[in-house]
Amino acid sequence: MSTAPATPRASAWADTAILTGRGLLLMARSPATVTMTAAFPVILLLLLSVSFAEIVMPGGSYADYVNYSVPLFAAMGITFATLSTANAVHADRIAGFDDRLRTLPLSPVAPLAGRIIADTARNLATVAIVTGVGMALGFRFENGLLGIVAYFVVPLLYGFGLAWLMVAVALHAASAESANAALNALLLVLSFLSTGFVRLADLPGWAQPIASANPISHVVDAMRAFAHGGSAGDHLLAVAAWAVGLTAVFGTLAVRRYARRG
Amino acid sequence: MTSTADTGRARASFATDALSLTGRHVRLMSRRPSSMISALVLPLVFAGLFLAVLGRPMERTGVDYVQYLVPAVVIQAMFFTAISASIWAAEDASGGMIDRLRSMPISRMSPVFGLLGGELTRAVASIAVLIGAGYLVGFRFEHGPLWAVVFALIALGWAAAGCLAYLVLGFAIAKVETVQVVGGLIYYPLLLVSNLFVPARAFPDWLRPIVENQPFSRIADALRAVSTDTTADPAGTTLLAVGWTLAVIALFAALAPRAFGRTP
Repeated sequence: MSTAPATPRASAWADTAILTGRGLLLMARSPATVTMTAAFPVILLLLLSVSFAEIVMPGGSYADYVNYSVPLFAAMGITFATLSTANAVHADRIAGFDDRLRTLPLSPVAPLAGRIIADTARNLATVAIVTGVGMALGFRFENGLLGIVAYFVVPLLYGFGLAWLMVAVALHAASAESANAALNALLLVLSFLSTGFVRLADLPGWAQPIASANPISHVVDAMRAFAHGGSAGDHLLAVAAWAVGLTAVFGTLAVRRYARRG
Repeated sequence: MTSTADTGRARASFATDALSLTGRHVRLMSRRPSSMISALVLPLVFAGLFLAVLGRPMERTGVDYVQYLVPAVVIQAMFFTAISASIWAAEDASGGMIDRLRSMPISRMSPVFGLLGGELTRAVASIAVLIGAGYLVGFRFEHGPLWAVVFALIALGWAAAGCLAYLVLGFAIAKVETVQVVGGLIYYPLLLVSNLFVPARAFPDWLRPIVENQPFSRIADALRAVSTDTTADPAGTTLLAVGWTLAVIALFAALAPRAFGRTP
């Protein structure tokens, strides 16, 4: 490797690391993007929890409902942030950055994986900010340091898998605008038809099977268990299965599509 | 004016100019899927989601949530209409369309009214779809057809007020991304800190005066009073709603020429 070969070879790992670095650098240079991404779930947390608390948990305090719902707002923040990941991939495609990369002996995994890994750092910031605001309003960690770490890892795992789905759509979509509108609606449905806002039993019959299968429910319930205690095992397993499945299926589709574009 | 083509000089006629620009706007919107989704599908999605999430908890507090929700999603759809207006305004201002129109002998303010006319056409479609869907799940006008017409007129009036405000925003900022962000920052608090989706009594005491008196709640009061709420006074609440609508229209009609005249 170190003896400079005649033709440079693509190494998926090294290339991904370089392009992850690029993503992180771009982010560091525009902190406003990171702030805006975190602002959306924080605004929703403030505006929705203030009135939902009394309806969803009559007799309970506002802090109780915040304690219950903060994981959902963190998960929603990550969910909708995958849209910007997809849009950034689309922008690279339109603006010619991809064409420039194509002149280099680069692994086709690297530009996509690099972007998604870099955005995982942004997701971490989002979860931290939402949780920080939540703690000011009544959210509490009651399950030790390991629980806190796991609380942060779960949504990042999910965000990584979902990002591949979004990127695959971004690479296949004919119109960025329609793709955005359709995905936005889909993500809204996923966020609401979950165990995030209300308990499973409070959802209507037709929505309960959807909520039970919904990855956001598992993310939120695992985060709750890690923060407050309770068994997280099944939820963690479901999140891991979703993340691995989404990455395998849509990662393959995305990378193939990316490699094929001429 | 008449069909006899007189000299080469074309004359500006406000009505025909605004009407042809309205036609252009409606055609453009109908060809953009994202526009159709936000006009016809997204309000239905929101209605379904709020119904799913808050339906049972609200029934427990004794509120028929379908009846409660339809006016709310109608107002939300009017808000989507206004947001759409701001985005098109920003696109036209930044994309050169306004410059092109200025080089032609057309009535000065007709581009503004063209966008407004197109958006209100879209608003009519949104209202029709939402009321139709509402009827399928149990929404009913309890005061008869005349008040149902008043319902639609209040909603359309509020859409006009909202569109005018957001058109001013769109022309004043003239950058699509910024307009979307600013529009959203205005939209969320007004929509969610109101009695639209949740009754005012669910809010903490210190917030309740704001919730009850802000214009969106007043419009919702009126829409409910003329449709589902049999305990309220339809005439009185309607008057209050008309007052708010006229006030917003007057304010932004005064600002519109400035914002529009200054677009780059």
